[in-house]
Amino acid sequence: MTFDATSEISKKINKIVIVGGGTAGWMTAAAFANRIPSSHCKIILIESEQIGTVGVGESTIPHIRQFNEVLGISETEFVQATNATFKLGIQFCNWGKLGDDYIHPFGEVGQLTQGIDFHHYWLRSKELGLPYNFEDFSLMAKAGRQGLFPKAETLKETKFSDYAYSYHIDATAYAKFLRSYAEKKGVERIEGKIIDVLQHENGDIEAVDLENNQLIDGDIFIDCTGFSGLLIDKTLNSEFISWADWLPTNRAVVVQSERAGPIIPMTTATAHSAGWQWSIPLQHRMGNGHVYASTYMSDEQAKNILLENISEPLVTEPRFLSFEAGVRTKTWSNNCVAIGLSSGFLEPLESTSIYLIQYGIFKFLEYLPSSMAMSAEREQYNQEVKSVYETIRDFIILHYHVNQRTDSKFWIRQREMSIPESLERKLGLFAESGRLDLGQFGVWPSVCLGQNLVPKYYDSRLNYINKDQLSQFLKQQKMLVDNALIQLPSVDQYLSMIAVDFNNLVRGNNG
Amino acid sequence: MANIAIKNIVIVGSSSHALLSAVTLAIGLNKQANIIILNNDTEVESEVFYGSGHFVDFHRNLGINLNHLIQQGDAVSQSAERYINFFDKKDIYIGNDISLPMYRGIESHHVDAWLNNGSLDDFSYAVAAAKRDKFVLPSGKANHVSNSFEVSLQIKTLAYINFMAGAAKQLGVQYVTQNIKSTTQNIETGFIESIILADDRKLDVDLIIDSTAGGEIYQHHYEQKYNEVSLPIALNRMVERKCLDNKKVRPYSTKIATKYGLIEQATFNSNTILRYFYNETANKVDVLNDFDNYFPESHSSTFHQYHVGEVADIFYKNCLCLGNGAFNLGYSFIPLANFSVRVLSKLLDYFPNKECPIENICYLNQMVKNDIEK
Repeated sequence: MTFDATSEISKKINKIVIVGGGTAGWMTAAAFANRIPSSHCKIILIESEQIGTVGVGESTIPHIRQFNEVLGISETEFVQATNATFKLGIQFCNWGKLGDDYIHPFGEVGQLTQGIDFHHYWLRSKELGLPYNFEDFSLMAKAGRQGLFPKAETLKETKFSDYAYSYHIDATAYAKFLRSYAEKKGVERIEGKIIDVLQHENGDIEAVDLENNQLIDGDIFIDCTGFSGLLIDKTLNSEFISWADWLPTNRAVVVQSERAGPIIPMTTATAHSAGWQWSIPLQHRMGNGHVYASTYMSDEQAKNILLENISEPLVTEPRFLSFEAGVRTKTWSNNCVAIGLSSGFLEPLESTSIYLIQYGIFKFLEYLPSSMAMSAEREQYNQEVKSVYETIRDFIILHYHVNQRTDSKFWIRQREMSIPESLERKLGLFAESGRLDLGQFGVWPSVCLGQNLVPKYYDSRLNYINKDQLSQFLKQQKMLVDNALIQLPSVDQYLSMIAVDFNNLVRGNNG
Repeated sequence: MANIAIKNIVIVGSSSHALLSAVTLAIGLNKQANIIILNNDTEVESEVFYGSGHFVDFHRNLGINLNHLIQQGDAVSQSAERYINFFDKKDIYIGNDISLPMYRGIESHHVDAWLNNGSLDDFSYAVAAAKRDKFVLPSGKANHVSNSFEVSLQIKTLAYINFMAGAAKQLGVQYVTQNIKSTTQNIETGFIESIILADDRKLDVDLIIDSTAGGEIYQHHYEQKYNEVSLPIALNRMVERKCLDNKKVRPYSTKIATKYGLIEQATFNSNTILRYFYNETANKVDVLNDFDNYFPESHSSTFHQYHVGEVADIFYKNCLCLGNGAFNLGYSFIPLANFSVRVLSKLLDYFPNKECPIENICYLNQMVKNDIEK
């Protein structure tokens, strides 16, 4: 079946204009080109080499695999093109108290048994004095600490067969990779700086005027202009709701360094006195950054802390960024949809920047309008995007709020501040009886227990089993993890295998 | 840390909801709790009820095989429902589809609208089977069209009750047939700690499931209100009839939109059960005449009345309200049995200890409320 270019529906949206390249712009272009036939709708991306990109999200969450899969991108090519390494979770240092160290792994910890979440079994075991760490039951956490990677074939027949992992990537390289993909699929790239935006009487964007006198019109405009929000903010004035009271970190200093030693398949997030520092291993370098609240720390102090905690030589100069946590009330306004940093910002603590881009893209494709006045879809889209932002916001606030640190005003303030009602409810539920809210983001038991929030009650049904039975059960669960670990290659070994696959692929393609 | 497990559960009532609760809790709690059914209810349930795919799955997950009811002719499996006079088309089928095919990521109903077809029938494997009078089961093949639906059941209520009563007995659930004389409550918490029966026997209780239509514990002992609402569109009356002409059993149930509401037709080997749902404002004689117009051979009218409304919180203190005493929409396309299954599965997910911790119970109530609203 082919689309009829003369039918009423296909007349409605003929041209989509993406303003801004970077990760958000090229992810959008690639996904749209993959999903919308070029015979049906023309896709144009405008970007200017004069304007730099932020290069968000070197650390990602497993959903990116779905994005690549939908686009038909091979993992081998992707890993090579983006200098990617693998990621099994995030290691948090100094978050509960100074000296604390826990891992927020991908995937569940332990196994839901008899309808009861695994962490209840662990809580009961603590009460009975059994000697297990919660982390002992997470293959991802254990593999992460040992620098191992769970190769798919090895775990095929085990309970870990559908394990979750993601990547650390060079986001700029990813954008470049997707540009090539999108252009092959018919996306037209126009180089140019926008100097004016023309609007219809109803406020819809009619066209953008470029410095080189080109006028680019369109039916739908996607704002991927980052923090500047050229269309969504400066033209359509979509309101920005600030969450700075809950998330006061507003500056980051970033720098790249050389990488030495074996690759650890985890992002490291180390809390400092007014924020935290990330450390992300790529194949060819490390990505480093220090997020901090400028009210509590100067740029100079922040830079010094960052550099003191990097042991390898730097390969770039430190660069400063400013931001404010929050989201726009309408990320889709009139005929303009903001995707990426133009829609809102949440600090990279849980590596959600690329996920939020992906969410916006797929949600928009789900509601792809067939006319210019589909307010129902627009309302629904805005509500869903806001809701996902809020869910992630709550999870990030949780990390700051559940702390016992006494060494700095910042941490005391974060602990004592009032939190959003939605988080208060979820936190209260977990603190009381270890229950989890449906649809919450991340592995709450790992983070809460890692930051020393131990529920008052575990599931009381576990009082039905005795110490020996529980001990036996936990021993078996741990053994499953230990047995799987023995078979895993190191991340470096696995990356070497991928490099060989890639070379074979290239040789095959060359004849 | 006082974290005392619930040990004594009393289920008040003997409806299908009561039996479902008893078996669910006996299995869910691994037979570790003492469960008593206090059989003192006189609720007359409809002769037949509809169990959705979720209802069937719930039983399967508990290890209860409802095939026995099918083999006995007391339940009929179906893959679709047939709607007559409801929509633009006079006769339409809606399958128990979990998913319908997509075209380039675009859902079937968009493609269907684009083709100006007007019905999704052509895209549904479940409907195709039902239209051809084929009884089908999901094939189990991942991502295959033959696995794109779930099986639901039309079930004879009494047969289900007897079947579940047998299962409950095997699981060690005890039956007590006696009226309640009084209850004793904890002075501090207000929780009912024991139920005193008319013969002065005392039942200790940590958790009560009140499945009586009149909310015997919830409304009378805890004095919590059932809030009736007046909905002019609610079909809050029903007249039930049978046909003995033994028509062929169909792999679907039929709903017919009528002058005063709708008729639901469920075919079994032995008979056909017909239920005419209408609003209280309709004249009974007119309804019966209309019934005769559609099914002149039907007979033995039994009338039922539904109190449309709901309780404020389904879980209050240490009492969970279930069945007609908890919530009723009159006729609903999502029948009460499925609602009870959802409540019980949530109860197991958020099972309280003896103190019924407040956040846990609030969350449970909120989830159920959301469910009702949806």
